[in-house]
Amino acid sequence: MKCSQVRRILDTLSSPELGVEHSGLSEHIQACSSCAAEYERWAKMVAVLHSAPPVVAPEGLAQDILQLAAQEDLSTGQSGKAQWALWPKLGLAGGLAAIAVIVSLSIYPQLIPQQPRTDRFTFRASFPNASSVSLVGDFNKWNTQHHALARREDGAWEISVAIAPGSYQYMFLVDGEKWCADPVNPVQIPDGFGGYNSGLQL
Amino acid sequence: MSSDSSTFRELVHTYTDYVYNLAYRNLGNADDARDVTQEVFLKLYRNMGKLDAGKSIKNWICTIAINASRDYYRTHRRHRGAFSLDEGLIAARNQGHPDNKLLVEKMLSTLDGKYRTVVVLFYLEQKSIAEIASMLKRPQVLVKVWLHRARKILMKNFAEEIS
Repeated sequence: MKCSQVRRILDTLSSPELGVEHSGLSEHIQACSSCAAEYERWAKMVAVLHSAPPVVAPEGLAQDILQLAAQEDLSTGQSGKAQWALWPKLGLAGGLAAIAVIVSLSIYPQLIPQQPRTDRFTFRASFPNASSVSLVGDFNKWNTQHHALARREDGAWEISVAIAPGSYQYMFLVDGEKWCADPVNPVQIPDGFGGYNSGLQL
Repeated sequence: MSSDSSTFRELVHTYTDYVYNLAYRNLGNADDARDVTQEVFLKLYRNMGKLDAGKSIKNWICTIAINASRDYYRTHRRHRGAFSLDEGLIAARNQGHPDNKLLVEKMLSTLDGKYRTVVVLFYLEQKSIAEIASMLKRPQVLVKVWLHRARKILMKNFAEEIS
C-alpha cells in the first residue's frame, strides 16, 4: 500500500468498531514511521472523545419535569379535572367554594391578603430547621429560583407575592430538595403522582 | 396513583441525567438542554401507553432525545462556533479527566447538526453504526460517511491540541 492510500483511510482504523479492514494496512503502519505517527494522532483523538464524562443535569430538573407533567394532566383534564373544572361551572356551589376559601384565608395564617381586594399575598410557613425555603407554583412556572422566602425573627418563613386573580397550585421547596405542600392549607390538589399540591383560588 | 404515573416518576428519576447529557452534547448549551429534556419527558408522558415492555426503554428514550435535540437545533439554529466559558464551567464541574473535559466541549462545538449527533452517539455514547442508522432513519453507509467527515473536521481543528 502507498502512504497516500493509507492516509485516506487511517481515521477509520482508529475506530475498530467501524469494522473496516484493509489488507496490508497494519503492515504498512508498522513499517512506516510517518504513517504510524499520523495513526497515533487519530487514535489519541478517539481516546479523547471516549474519555468525555457525562454531563449531569442541573439540580431540581427531575422535579420540574414531574410538576410539568402534573400540570399537563390538569390542563388536558386527565386526572385533576374535577378539582379545577368544576369551580366555574357550578354557579352557587362555586360561589360557596370561593367563600370557603376566603374563610380559610382568615383562619389559616399561610394565606393572608395584606390588602383585601388586591392581588398581593403573603405566604407564610413554619420550617424551623430549614436553611432555605422557596415558593414554587404554576404562577411562577414552577421555577424553584424565583420566590425565596425570608426567615423572620420568630423562625417562620415568609414572602409577599403579587398574583393576578385565578386558580393556582403551589408547594414549598425546603433546602432545595424537599417538596412540601403547605401544611395548614386545607385545599389540596392531587399532583398526578400520588402526592398533593396546595391549591389557591384568588 | 395510576401505574403509568408511577412508572413515569421512576423513568424521570432514572433517565433525567441521561437525557440531559444527550441534549447538552448535541446542543452545547445548558438552557437548550434543559428545554429539550423537559420536552422529551413530556413526549414520553403523553406516550406512556405505547411503552413496549419487550424493547429497551433506554434506546427508546435515546431515540426521542436525539430527535428532539435535532428538531430543536433546526428550529433554533444558532452559530455555535464560539465556545462559551459558562458552558466550559458546567463541563468542569462534572467528573472526568480535567483537561479532556474542556477539550471535548470545544471539539463538539466545531461540529454542526448531523456531524455532532453521530460523533456524540458513536464515540461518547458508544452506539453501533446500525443503532445510529436506525435512530436517525438513515442508511448505515451514510452514517459512516458523516462520521468520516466529522473526524476530518475535528482533526483539522484540533491536531495540535491532541498531539
